[in-house]
Formats: sequence, structure tokens, C-alpha cells
Amino acid sequence: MAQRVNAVVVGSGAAGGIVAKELAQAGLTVVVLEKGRQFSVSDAAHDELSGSGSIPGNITKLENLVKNPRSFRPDASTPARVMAAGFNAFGVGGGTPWYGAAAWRFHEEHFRMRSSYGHPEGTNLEDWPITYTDLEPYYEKAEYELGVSGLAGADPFAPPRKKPYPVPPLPLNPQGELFAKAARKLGLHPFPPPFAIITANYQGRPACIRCPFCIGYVCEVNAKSSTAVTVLPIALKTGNCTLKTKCVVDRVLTDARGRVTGVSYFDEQDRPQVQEADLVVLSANAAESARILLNSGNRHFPRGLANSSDQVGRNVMSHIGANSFGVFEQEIPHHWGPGPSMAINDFVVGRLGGGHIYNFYVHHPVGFASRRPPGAARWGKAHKDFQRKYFNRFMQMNSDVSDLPVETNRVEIDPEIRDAWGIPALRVTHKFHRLDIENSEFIAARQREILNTAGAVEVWSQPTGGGLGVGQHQCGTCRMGNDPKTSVLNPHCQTHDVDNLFVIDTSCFVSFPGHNPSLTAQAIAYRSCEYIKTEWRGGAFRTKV
Amino acid sequence: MKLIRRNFVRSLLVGAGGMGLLGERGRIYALAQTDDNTGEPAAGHLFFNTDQVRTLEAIADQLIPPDDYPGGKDAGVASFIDKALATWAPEHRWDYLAGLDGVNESSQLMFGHDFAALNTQDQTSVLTTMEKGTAPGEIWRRLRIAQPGSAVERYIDPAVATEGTNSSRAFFDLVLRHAMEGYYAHPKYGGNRDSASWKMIGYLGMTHH
Repeated sequence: MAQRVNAVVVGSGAAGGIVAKELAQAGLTVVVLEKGRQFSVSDAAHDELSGSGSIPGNITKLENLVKNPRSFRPDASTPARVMAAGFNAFGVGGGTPWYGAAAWRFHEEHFRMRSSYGHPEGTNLEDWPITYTDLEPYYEKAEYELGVSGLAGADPFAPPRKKPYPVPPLPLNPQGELFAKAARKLGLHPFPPPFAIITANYQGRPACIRCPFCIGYVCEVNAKSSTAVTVLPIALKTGNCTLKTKCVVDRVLTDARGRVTGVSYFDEQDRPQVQEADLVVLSANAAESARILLNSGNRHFPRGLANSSDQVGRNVMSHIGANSFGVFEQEIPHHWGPGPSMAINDFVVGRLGGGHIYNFYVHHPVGFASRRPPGAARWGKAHKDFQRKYFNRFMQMNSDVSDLPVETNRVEIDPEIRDAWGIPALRVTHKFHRLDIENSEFIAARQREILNTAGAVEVWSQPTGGGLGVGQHQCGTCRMGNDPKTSVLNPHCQTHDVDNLFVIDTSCFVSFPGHNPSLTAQAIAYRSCEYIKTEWRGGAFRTKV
Repeated sequence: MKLIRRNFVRSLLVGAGGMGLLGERGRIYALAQTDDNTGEPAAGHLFFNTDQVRTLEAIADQLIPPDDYPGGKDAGVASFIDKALATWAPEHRWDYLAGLDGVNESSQLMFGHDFAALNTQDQTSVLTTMEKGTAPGEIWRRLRIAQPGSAVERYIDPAVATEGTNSSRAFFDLVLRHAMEGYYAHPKYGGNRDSASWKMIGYLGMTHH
């Protein structure tokens, strides 16, 4: 058995990487168990099929696809279908080596959704137990420790901030220029959005070289501020932190008194192992952290660990996308990455979480082959002609639109299926609320207005409301709150039921506005770690029971 | 028709085996079913035999017809799919073995010849009925297209994902996706010969650094 440590962190992603660094720097001995392998600049390629983005069945994802089934259903009365858990790239750094690196702060209103909007029928809307003001210093810390580019003061709707961004925003590109001009004409407020991509040398890493292979691809120069190239190396350098890759955790272990003693996992050779620790931090993502809790039930915890509230797995949220496309008569060169260079937040506040709008990442030929207006040919001469005429005359507006919490939207253990390690897999039940779909349609209509105003000759939107949800932006399965009866975690991401067990990732989200989740999860990670560092005294938790 | 009959019998067997797999606790996705091909691989190919290559190339040229730039056949779409099945997409081997037979069965039922022997108009008709999911034939009634690759589409069309009674559309969508990848993706995967498609559309993704 491996040596007992102070903390075992499950997952090295957006939040887990920060937990590892914060705890190791504070002098705790830490083991990080990561399911994926280490990726590096040598994994970067100017090759559309190599990415883990929009191409299912591609080479790097095959293992993920085959080994990690989940079942999905829109509601409890529909049979669940087994599918691979797609859109969840994993490696050292979790999904952050591949992510698009949007680095948004949520707005003040997004932490007080119940106060702002009451209880729309069918939702489980609540205020967060923390406010934007509580989180602001930690947003700042995340932006500075990771390296986030942006322009303070450029967004009139932005929540207050004390310091500017550490590096300037990504430069304007032709799409952004076209978008901004049209947006201003419509009375909207375009600005360069924040990204965890550095635009100047920062902490020993070089600036973004603006290659077109960003979202879905490993960065070839480490300008993307993934946790793999920022906080994790710092954690390892302390000498207090050990990172173990290709380790798949199945359960959190508990003692006779119901306190956690460590985790069991399968190592690189698929051998069962135990890692004992004084405290356990789950940072495996909202679906997988909940899965581990639900799989860790025992005599003390028949419904799963830390689940006296029966809220573990409930209120799972994911963004509902809104995407619109326009083709133009004139060429719009798009060779320079990453792509997004303008955004608007006019529809993020006052709209039940709303959604920001931005010009999307650089498109590539295979992906573009399925970008067609409704009714257009999917093959044949007409399809080839469209590809030829419009590949360099195309712009996509993208939004991630709010998903309201609904108690029956949940992840739970599927009664039948197991993954490649024999661990019971998840069944996801998720359907977007009527108001989410309305919001998404509203945002898509704004996107079309912008594209039409920009002079597109043909404009169309992806149909909204479809899809089973719960992909890469999953959150909310262990909501935080002050009442142990209605929430899983306290405001520090410590489980109400077990004092030496934390869930630090997007699981704690109480609601999910139309902004990408990672920076908020990272700010929460810094805040929760401060609590652990302040409260933890090499066993203080033990004596509190 | 002999080939069709033999593979049809195999499809019945694999259908039953597939159900068994789904009920099994543990490893749900067995990658390979009964996916051994019949006959020697065609010259320069790893998986498909000569007849299959001919059928697939004819399909590829309808999906992406030649003009002043190459069509799907000359761009190497069949080689791309061949390489995919032999290496990174083995889960679709069976789909192609049965599916290409299905295309020929439909062609025989609709026009009395195998697909590759039909004229352009009739080939288009066969593919159009497949795209609509109405192509005739016993194989489409029996075949279930493997889901791991296709079901992760975020906005997947439920008609494709749900088991229907005619899989010609699911197979059409699979071939269409692979054809577009073979024509427009990096040449190192065996298609997009001479980067012809990239030259055609003015794609600089590879060369800008």
C-alpha cells in the first residue's frame, strides 16, 4: 500500500490542479490521482482529426469513447441509451489542455438567482451561499496565477474588479472586426473577451503564436494556461506532491465512524490500490465526482457518501448552446487563431443567466463540411461548390446559454452498465427547461441579427433545444448551501456529512449562467483551499467529530 | 447475390451476439464483432477487397464528384476509410462489411445491378433513398450501425441514434462523415491526395507556420 498522505486529490483538472498546488505549497503531503495521461507540446499537431473537438471517433478519443460508457435519457419515463461519455477530454490538466480557455467571471446577479428571479415553475433556483464579493479576490488570484488575457473596463456589464488583467487581450481579427461593427450598429457593446491564453511572455511561458488549432487541441507552445503547464508544475516542484497518471478512482473509503480514510483506485496496470489520506478532495468533474460519491455507499451511507440530503447528483446542469452561421460575399480571412476576438455581454444580466455572444474559433475543412443552411445539399456537386465558395467567407457566432437547475435533472448510478474497470457507470437524466430553450432561441435570434447587420448573404442557426445536455460544461451535482438538508457542500466545498471530504470542481454550482464555468471553479478552488489551509492542522478535522 | 446471402446470414448471427454484449455487465463496448473480411485485401489496401473498394469509390465519387478538382475516388476517400478501419476506427468494420453489401442489395433491387455498375442518375437515386432511410433490402432491416463514434455528436439527430427498422440512413451518414474526413482532412490519413481539397478551398491551416 502506498504511504499515507495528508491529502489525496482525485483529478488534476481546472480545479484539481489548483488544489494540488495550494495544499502542497502549504506543506501538506499530496497525492494527485489522474485518470488520463500526460500530454505535451509533442502531442500538438496542425491536424483537424487529431483534435478532441468536434470530430467523434478521432484517434485521441477512441480510448475515452470505448472505455467510458454512460447512459442518457431526457426523463425518467424514457429508456436510457448507452453512449460514450464524449466531450470530456482528460489528461494531466483534466480538460484544460484542450479547452477553449474562455476565462469569464460570473456576474453579481448570477450568485443571487433566487433573489433576482424567484422560483420559476419546475426549477430549483436558489441563491449561492457566497457572493461575487466573496469570490472577487480569488478570481483575481486565478487570473494572475494562471495567466488570463483581457481588457479591464472594456465590458460595460462586467462586475467590478480591483486589478487589470495580467496580460492584454487577444488581438482583433477580421471576424471580430465585422462582428464588433455590426454589434455597435445595433446599439450593443462589443469588447475583447478574457481568455486563459497569454498574449505576452508570462511566468516563463511564451505568448500565443495565434495558430488556428486551439479549442480541442493541445497548445504547441504552452501559451494556453492549462493547469498542466501552470499550477501543477509548481505543485510538483514543492516536493510535497506526487502525481500519478492513468489511475482510476472508484470509491472513497470510510472508517467505522463514517470519516473518510482515503480512496481505492485502479493503477496504470489496472491493479486495485488504496491511497490513504487524512482528507480527500474530489475534483473529478461534476459528473464523475458525484459518481464516486454515489458509488461509495456503505452501511453508514446507504444512498452514497455525503448524501444525507439526497441531493448528490441532482440539479445537474450544462449549457444549452446557441450557434448561428453566416456566409458572406467578401472574403473574411480566418487563418489566425484562436479565433474569438470580440464578445458582448448585453444579454448576460437580467435574463435568467442569459448568454454571452462571441465570434467562434477558427474553423477547419472537415467541420465546415457539415456547416450548411437548412435544406442545403449534404453531398454532391452543390455541397462541393458551397465548400469551395464559402470556406473563406464564413463566420460563426457562438453562445453558451444558461441552464436552470431542475431537481429531476440528475446523474445517478446506472443499474446495469459498468466501465472498462468494472465500475458502475452513470445514468444521466437531463432535459432543458422551457425557459432555457426560450433563452437559447432569444440569443440565437440576436446572433442572426448581428450576422445580417454584418452583411451576410445567408444566415442560419443550429436548432436549439435538442441534445441531451451534460457534456463538457457539466456542473451542479453537489450544490453548495448553508442547509445540510437541501445541499451537499458547505460554502467551502466541504461536505456537510463528512468533515474530511471535499468536492472542489463545478459540482458545487448552484445555478449556471451563460458563461464558461472554469474560472469560477478555479476561484472557488482557491477560496476552498484557503479554508483548508486555515482550518487544517494535521488532523484537526479528526478531533472535531 | 451469393456474397449478400453469406453476409446476411452473418448479420443475423452478429445481431444476436450484439444483444448478448449489451446485456453483459462489465465491458460494454467490445470493439470488434465478427469483422473478418472475405477475400484478399485489394492492392494497396489493408482491409477492403477489390469489390468493396470499387463500390466505395463509386459512392465517394457521388458524394464528392470530380470537376476541375478531384472527386472522392481520386482523392483517396476509399483509402482513408480502409486505413481508418484497419487502425483507429475498428468499431466500424462490421458496418462497412454489411453496409456495402446493403448498398449493392438496394442497387440490385432498384436497378438490377451492383452499385458500381449503375449510371450516375441511378447511383444518385440509391444514395438518396439511403439518405432518407428508405432504401430497400433485407440488410438494412437487420444491420445496426455501431454507435460509439457517431452517438457522441452533441446535436445528434435522434432518428440516427435510435434503433430504427431501416439502417440505410445511419450507414449513409457514417460513409458521408468518413468521406468528408477522407477528402478534407490531413493527407497523412490516406485521403486528400496532394492536399487537393485544401488548395481548392484556400485552406492555410497547415502551412501558416
